[in-house]
Amino acid sequence: MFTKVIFGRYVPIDSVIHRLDPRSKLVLSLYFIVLVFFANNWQSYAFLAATTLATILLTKVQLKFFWEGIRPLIFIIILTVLLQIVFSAGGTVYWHWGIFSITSMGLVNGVYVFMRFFLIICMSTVLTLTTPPLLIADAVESLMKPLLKIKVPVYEIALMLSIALRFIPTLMDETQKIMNAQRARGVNFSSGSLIKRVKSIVPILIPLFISAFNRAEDLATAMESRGYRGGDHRSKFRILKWRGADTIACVGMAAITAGLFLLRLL
Amino acid sequence: MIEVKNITYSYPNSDSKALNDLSVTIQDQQWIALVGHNGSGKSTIARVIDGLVEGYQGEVTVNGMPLNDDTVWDIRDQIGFVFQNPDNQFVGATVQDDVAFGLENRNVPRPEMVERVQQALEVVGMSEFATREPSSLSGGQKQRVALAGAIALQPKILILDEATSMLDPQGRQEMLEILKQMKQRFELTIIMITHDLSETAMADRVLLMNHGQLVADAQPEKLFARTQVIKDNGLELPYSEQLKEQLAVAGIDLPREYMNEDRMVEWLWDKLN
Repeated sequence: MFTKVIFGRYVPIDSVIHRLDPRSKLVLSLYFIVLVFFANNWQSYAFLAATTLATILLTKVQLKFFWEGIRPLIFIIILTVLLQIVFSAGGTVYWHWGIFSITSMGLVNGVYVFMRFFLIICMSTVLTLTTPPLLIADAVESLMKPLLKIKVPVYEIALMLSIALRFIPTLMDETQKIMNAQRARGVNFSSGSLIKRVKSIVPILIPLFISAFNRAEDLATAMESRGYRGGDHRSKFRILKWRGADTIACVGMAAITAGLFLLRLL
Repeated sequence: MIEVKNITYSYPNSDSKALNDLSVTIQDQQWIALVGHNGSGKSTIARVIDGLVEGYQGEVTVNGMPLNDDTVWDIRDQIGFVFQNPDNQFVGATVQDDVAFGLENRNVPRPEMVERVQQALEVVGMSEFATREPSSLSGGQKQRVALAGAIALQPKILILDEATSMLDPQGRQEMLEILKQMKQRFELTIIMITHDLSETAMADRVLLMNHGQLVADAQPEKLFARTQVIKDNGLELPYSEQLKEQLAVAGIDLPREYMNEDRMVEWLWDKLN
């Protein structure tokens, strides 16, 4: 259950989007998020919504997975939208009480804010649904390479990231085991006051930390015995390939940018 | 050939000696079983040979190279090491990534790396799991991947530090079978550390350790016959050997050589008919 939340729910199927290089996916989805903030009227929002929908359809992933991406954030969205509606002023006043008011401008702003959230979440969900976390880590490594010039240990950071990803399920299993062991001794994690529940977490964390340190030591020895010396004198087994489709995706994004700025003029 | 000469070592913050003036020579292509109870020093000596322990007295020579700071990486190139805990030695995010890890460290060009990863996975029968993540594998499968990772480096020596102790009996049996094949095929020297004497039957030579010293150095059958030595050093005879002992007490004449449980059942069956 926990693992699902952290792993971004990668859906292993085959689609045009799945096959894109993780670097282009990562950069383009970040770029799109910035782009969303440039939309300023109904037409531009509708245009971005249409492109997002088209991308979602291209992933061939069932829509319910996208809904699962939005659901955990729904309260934040609703709260922000409500604050926008209630606090922004301008245009016709429909209702008003003390400092609160509902105005036409407020409603419009509310809808815009909602659209922004919705589009950003959908696009980043496209990234996590179609790219395994490991490949995202590879993309980060590859994109960070220029930082090698200012002595940032990019390769070490990338290896740490990939080892961290690899150990998440292991440590989750371990947590479950420790919790079961405590339950067998009569600990109740799901009832009692908040303070009591937080207190019952401490006896989980301590054995978990101890075992994580032991694992780290074992792992370091194993890595050393397999010839790991750090640094950049290593060849790579997983390589990223920039294909024609990636270039097309970039051109497509440029076209979307052009379209958006034309619509802004309306 | 591995030569260990007068090694003495104590772990930091410990008064007792983990290794006490230990000397031993291991010939090429021998299968060595290194046995002893917990804390007898058997793991420590294996780590000394691989250069994973610092601050000992004495000398180690591996294939003619004296072990020191300059040669440690060359010596590690010749030694494959498989550890006890399947989870704590799995570095890669997938099976093939993990097998490739050692090759990446040695800067092997990618086309050759892909080939060697495939071959190594074939040897241990894990080819179809190449893209699987470790969390979806059993302990035995993970240990086979660790073996593949070691063998992909084409070592001359393979050290297994209680590599089967966390596996179920079936996983254990599979590992031993694969090891037997690998030894033949790659002409390996194997050092297998264990506290289960039944795993030593395949060995050419059993080294029994206690208090950081060598107590016995013999062929498995000969060692099994020295029941008092085994008991005195905190170990237990394999079940079939215990049975043999009891049968001998009851006055039944038994063959001298080691029999595993299946062979024992067969022999008893013949005897009863």
